[in-house]
Amino acid sequence: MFLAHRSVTRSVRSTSAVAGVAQKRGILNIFRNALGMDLPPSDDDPTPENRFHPWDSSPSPDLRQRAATIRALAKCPVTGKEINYTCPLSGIPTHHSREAWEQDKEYHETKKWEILKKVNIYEHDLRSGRPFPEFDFPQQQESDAQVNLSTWDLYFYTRQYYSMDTEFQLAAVTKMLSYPITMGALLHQFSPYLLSPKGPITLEGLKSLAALRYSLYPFQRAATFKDRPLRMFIIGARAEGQLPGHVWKQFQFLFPEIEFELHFIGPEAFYDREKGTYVSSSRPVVKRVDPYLSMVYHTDYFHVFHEAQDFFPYDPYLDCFFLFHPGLSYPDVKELWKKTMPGLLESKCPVFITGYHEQDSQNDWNWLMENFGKDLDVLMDRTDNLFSSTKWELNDLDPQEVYRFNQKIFAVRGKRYHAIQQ
Amino acid sequence: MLQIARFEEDGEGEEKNFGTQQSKYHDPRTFKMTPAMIRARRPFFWKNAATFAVLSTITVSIYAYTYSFLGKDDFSDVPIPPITEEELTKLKKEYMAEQAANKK
Repeated sequence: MFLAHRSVTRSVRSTSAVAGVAQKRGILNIFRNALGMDLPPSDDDPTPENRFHPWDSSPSPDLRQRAATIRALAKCPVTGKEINYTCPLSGIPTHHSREAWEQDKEYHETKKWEILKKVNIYEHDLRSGRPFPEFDFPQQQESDAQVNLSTWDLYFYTRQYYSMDTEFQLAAVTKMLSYPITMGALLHQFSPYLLSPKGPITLEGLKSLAALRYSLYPFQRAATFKDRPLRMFIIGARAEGQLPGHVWKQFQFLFPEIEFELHFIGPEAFYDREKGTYVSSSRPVVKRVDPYLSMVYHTDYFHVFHEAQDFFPYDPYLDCFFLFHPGLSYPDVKELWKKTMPGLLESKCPVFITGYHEQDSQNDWNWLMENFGKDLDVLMDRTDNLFSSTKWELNDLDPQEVYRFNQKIFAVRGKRYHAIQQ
Repeated sequence: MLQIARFEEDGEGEEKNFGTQQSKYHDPRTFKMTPAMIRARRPFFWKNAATFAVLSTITVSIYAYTYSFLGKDDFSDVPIPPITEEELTKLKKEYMAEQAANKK
């Protein structure tokens, strides 16, 4: 009885102390409110300071695992030995020893550690367990609302997304939306990519885009006959295939009342979350998001379906190909791409190809020009993708190789031979 | 009636409340623009400022011109009715008396 009484008084006392603190804070907030000042940031809000942890002593086990992978597989860029020193500025294991780290002039001059630090803090933010209100995406826009596709910020503002005030929120959302909005920005009638010399689009590119826009904007033409849905082929799909339907729906929202079929093609196109593996199926797996958008997964290489004529007939007015960082020239896949590429060029439909970074995109371009240079027209010169992911990533095999998804983009199409009057 | 109920269930009623909803791009407490909105408006800031300058220059110059034009108006050609000496002294006396009364 006595004990119970004591514990009750203690709890009463502690709650009144808490109430007192809360009251003080409340009074301060009233003053702040009256003066229109900002509230002090809550502890939940991500900042570069509170998201920074060296990966070796990270609170998250999978980042500790990645640090171990880097130590096991990557080599120091100065000494060529194994990596054994964690850069104190970025918190990522980068060099063999402190001496090597100090000697690496390029690393410090180009401020590469700033990018590596961003990789570090973005990864920790995703695992911080804070609320993610920014993943609540907007629905159909009103018919008189126009979307501005100049930059991420304007796109988010004109579509009335959650107000993303920090780089952390942008990194989390743009990594997902990079795929659908990159596609949308290319095909949209108010595309930010202009005709050369003002922009990267060549005259041949404008011909192809004009054909697609003919189908995307049927209300602007005299005869509005109902055609089949537009097919967007995503070749070599990996992460794209795992994006949920409501993310891809943001692509469809840019083209109201137009029907799309997204075809994800490749052995890693369909990932079964329950089983935790890539599933291969002899028949295409169809997921219908709503009457305007369906996603079709084909779990084999494109040339297999092309040779079986599964997708015939191709129509440059209704079909379009996207290769999201295909790595065309990588030694272990380039033979496969050599089989796939002729089919893509034969279709005479535009092929958009993105790259992780400058060098990756340059390699793809060089490989394509070397092997198929005679058979293709360039539709779009290599340029920065305006809707690349803003989340920096690093290659575990070489931590100084940093990249962002869809950072670069270019486009080609199989050459068309026009009839000549003799 | 049934239709209305269904309309609200769909959640469409929430979306279409005709601008009464608080904008996501203003701080709900201070009504200040959020950093995201400032970033989105930044590309247009200087052009908007220039347009504002041009429009305000036109307005201000029209007002200034009117003011200076009317200030120059000369009223010397307007005839003032003549006044006799007697009337003048009488008026002066009245004025002085009034002043004295006011001083008290």
